[in-house]
Amino acid sequence: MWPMSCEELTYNQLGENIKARLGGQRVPLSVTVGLTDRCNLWCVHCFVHDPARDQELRARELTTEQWIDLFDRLAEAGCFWMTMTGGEILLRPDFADLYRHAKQRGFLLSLLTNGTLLTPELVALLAEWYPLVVEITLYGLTRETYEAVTGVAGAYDRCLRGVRMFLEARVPLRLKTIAMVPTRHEVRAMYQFAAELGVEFRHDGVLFQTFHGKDIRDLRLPPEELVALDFANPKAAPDLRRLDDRYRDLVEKAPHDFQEYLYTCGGGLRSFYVDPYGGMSLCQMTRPAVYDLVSGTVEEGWEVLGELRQRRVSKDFACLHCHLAGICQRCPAFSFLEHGDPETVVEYACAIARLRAQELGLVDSMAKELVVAGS
Amino acid sequence: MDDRLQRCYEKDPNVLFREVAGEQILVPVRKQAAEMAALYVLNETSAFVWNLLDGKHSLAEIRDCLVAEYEVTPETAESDLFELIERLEGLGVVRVVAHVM
Repeated sequence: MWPMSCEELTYNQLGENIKARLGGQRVPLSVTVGLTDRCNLWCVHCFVHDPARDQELRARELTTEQWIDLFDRLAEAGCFWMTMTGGEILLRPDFADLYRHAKQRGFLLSLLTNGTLLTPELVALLAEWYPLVVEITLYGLTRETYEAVTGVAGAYDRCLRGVRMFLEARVPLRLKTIAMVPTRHEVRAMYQFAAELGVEFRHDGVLFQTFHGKDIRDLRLPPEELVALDFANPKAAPDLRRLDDRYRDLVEKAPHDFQEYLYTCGGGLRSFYVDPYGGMSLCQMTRPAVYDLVSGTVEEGWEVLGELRQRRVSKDFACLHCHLAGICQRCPAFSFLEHGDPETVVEYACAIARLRAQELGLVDSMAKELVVAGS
Repeated sequence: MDDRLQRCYEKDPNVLFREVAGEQILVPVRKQAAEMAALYVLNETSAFVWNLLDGKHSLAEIRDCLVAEYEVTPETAESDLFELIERLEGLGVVRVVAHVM
């Protein structure tokens, strides 16, 4: 291949190029590692809720050596993007060693943290071995809201201190919040706060049910309120409006054209999840894990995920006939956590999809009668 | 002979080479390389050169390797090699460590 070239690309351009090159090919490019399910906060909505001091869980988690060995194997298998999440990742006393090793293997790293356990040493590490991004969740803009959500006195000040430390060290930072009943009155002010800091901000309001049995449906915002918030967000609204172009084709297709398989997301196609104990699954929300990476190989685990993706939807699955599936956030994991069955309508997601379609003018613009799940 | 051919280059250890889904990528991992706000994608021949920048091979040797591996004249290989090295030096990802006689 001549002549020689050395082309400059942004991280996004590289992602697009790889996507275009691979087409529908299954390649394990992006891994999310749950370093621990334990957390020092006790958030009302959280789907995990494992106590920080649970020694039994701590003992079951992969050791430093096991994670390092796994990172090596993931890099050799071709993984490039890595997200470290929890629980709270900074609860691991070996976080610095794990992070530095992942950087030395050339992963593009994103970190999800609550920011409350940050130390000057960790900030210095991240300033030197900089990540693609650190994302901190703000559980409120006031101490009262933040600590009502997280259940921990003093956590608000520690979180804001963490935000400031990252900004001063110029570590790439993003903020987000969970838009839900306890935070609803502060979400718009949080956008303003982040803008003043010069930091990107987003909200997520589509709360999944939990793994530990607590029913969080009463924490969800009414669909109308959440969709209004989505479209009021100056950053997110253009993206949502672009759904119009991206999904119009999907919406106008016969639904069975795109609902043949149960899993239509990136899980097992380009991405996967590794839990704190070395278990591999399609994503963080699909449990239990289906393959043990401690005793097995990444390649074999990837094949197991590929077999899962072959599962076809049943002919009587209501969403199979829905024209709004392309703009709906329902997925098998969402259904499973909601109703114990991956092939069920999630009424909350359904209501949001309909409101989005209305807002985008998709429903009015179509000549035919839409078939919508849950109607 | 152009005296640049006697130079041996080594790579900045803070820039890693990764092959991902068929793309050959230079990834800056540490602050010293943070000026590289982007990634750099090498094509096959550039990656071939990158792998030979080990502080031991001179550019003359690398040029000869290129001629042996690809259908290219020594003159073209040499001028393109100089161009690539100049770009990599400009990015701060390689540096001269020795001159062979």
